Amino acid sequence: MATLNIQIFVDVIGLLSGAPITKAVHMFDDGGIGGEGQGTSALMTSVLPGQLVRWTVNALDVQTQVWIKDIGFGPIPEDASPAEVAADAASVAATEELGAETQLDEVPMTAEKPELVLPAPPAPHPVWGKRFEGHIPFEILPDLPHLYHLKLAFASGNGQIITVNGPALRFVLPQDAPITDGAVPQFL
Amino acid sequence: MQNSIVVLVDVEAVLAESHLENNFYLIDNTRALGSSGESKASLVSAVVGVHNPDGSPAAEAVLNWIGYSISALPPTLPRSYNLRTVHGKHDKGLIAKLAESNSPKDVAALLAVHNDKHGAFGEQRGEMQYLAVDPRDASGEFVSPDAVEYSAHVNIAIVGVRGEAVDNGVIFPGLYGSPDFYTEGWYWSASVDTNKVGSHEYILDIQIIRPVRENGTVTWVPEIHSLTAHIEVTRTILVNGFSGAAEAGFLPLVSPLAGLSLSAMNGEI
Repeated sequence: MATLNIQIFVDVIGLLSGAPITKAVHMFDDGGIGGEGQGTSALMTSVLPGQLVRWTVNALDVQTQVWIKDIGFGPIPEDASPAEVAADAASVAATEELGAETQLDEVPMTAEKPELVLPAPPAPHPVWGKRFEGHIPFEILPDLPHLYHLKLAFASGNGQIITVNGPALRFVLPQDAPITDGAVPQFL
Repeated sequence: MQNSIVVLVDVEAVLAESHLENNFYLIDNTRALGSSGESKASLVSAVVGVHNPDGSPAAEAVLNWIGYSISALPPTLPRSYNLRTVHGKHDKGLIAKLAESNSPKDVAALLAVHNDKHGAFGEQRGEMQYLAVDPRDASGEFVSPDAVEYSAHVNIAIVGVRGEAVDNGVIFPGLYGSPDFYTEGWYWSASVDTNKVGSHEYILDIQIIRPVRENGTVTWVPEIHSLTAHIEVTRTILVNGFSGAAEAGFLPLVSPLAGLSLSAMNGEI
């Protein structure tokens, strides 16, 4: 069974300048039969039980940095996003404070040797070092859209998080799959 | 990932002092990823390498260098700007004069003069001229081509990338073609071997133009100055975003029915 790829293209500058997600996030998959909404942020991907699904994010403006911070399944609570942004903003502020303290502490210690010695906090895995892929559970219910949301992060991943709500995975039973253009389902 | 590294040079100061030291600034777009010494000569650009669990590279790290002169003309100003505005002004002036003239002879004379000096009236002037904008100083006066200020308006050119990082096979620089007029159609770029973790030094060769007066004529003599810059390469091994493990597991799907029943329950309460 072929790996199913979901490519997410993000107009980062547009998105961070206030463009709606529907105009700045474009999703595509190579799942074929039963898929809907190609090129939109409400992509409905047709999957099979056991299939490996892989998400990849790309910035349309190639020198900007966008990462998938997380993918969550099920509908998100309406009030989740603002709190999350606030929490992330707080963590950035905390990091900067830590940096300032470090510098103050360092002045007497490293007066002779001006070498930056950073404290060693338990570093979380960087946001750019995550690959989002996984197998579809065999107990997936057929025909029903399984909604998920993407959390997109930028630069270091500690700043603004934008949640893309709307895409879904759906297990379409092969006999129910609409066959278009005479295409034969690969998995039959 | 693509890194941009901007080299900003105070060309007037370099011409006066004949060295780059203290007369340039380095800025990059990876501060959030750990670059230090931002907007100073001591910039250390963070390069984040991403590798698969077997060690093979999972993403390309690319450096792009862009050179600017502080006094340079805005890069967004089209080179044809001057051409269009000057001709447009003369075309408007001609219309005004024509409106005031009442003999065919006058009209013919006006058109002939305009044609000689500025080309046919309303002609399409789409050509892109090389450095079509005449530099002016802060007070708005035109600057003579043999003045230092004039060559300061010419953007610097990065003409080479070399040094320890190149010799040791950390970065692989090349000169690439670009459709951008501002970079004269070329720019330097390099891919990075992110297995070479640590701090590495490289040298950028910067060309500036010095106007030299000789036997009554002014010649623009290129001068090459070098600066040393640094990158700090780090390496991250990819983990699964869902589980944190190396291998992919099953996706934590949530049954749509579970969500529905929860909403229904909330509705009843």
